[in-house]
Amino acid sequence: MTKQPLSTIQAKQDEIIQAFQALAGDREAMLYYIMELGEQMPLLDEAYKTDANLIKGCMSAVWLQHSQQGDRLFFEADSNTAITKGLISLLVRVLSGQPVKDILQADLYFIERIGMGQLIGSQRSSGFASMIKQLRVIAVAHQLKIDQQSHDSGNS
Amino acid sequence: MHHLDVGMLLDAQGIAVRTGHGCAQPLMQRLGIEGLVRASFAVYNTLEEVQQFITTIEKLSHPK
Repeated sequence: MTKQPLSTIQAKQDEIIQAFQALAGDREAMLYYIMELGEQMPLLDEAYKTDANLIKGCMSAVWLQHSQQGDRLFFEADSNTAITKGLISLLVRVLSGQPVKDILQADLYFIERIGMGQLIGSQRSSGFASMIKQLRVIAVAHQLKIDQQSHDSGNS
Repeated sequence: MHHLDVGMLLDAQGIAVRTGHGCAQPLMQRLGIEGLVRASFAVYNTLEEVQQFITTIEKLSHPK
């Protein structure tokens, strides 16, 4: 029997943990690294920077755009501040392109492992939690749509 | 650089500043800016701390 490969969400989280471990708790270096990750994220089309795409509960403006291909969800994002852009880029890196059911079941353990709470403080942690909540809300909505479609096709 | 980023990077260096509107939204509107970073010096601050603040700000203004 062949060994099951690591789920991609897990593999991506492990990559992030490894990169942060290399920075050995240097808070300034970690913040610069987060900003660098944000800069590497593909640019979000200005047309998607709408009020509807704004995540509520963040001090900075954070826009999250999503699209669906089959059972997979893709995310794009941007923010007006560099650190917040880096933070949402971590979530996009881990969750974008994954099957909806995997996004819903994802245990985002990398957040605790890299010491995110201490790194960004309570106010930004609350904003970060809002980003995760928004990603999950989108995933739930798409899962319902998928369930409805399979239910409808089952009935026809 | 956005004032919230500056505040967080200074915080990582152990420097505490105020970021945001500073309760002066009309002034922010007049200046056409979203917010600011305010450093307040007090009797307990040393000249070394002031120098450390200046050095850190200079470093932030010229990123690698």
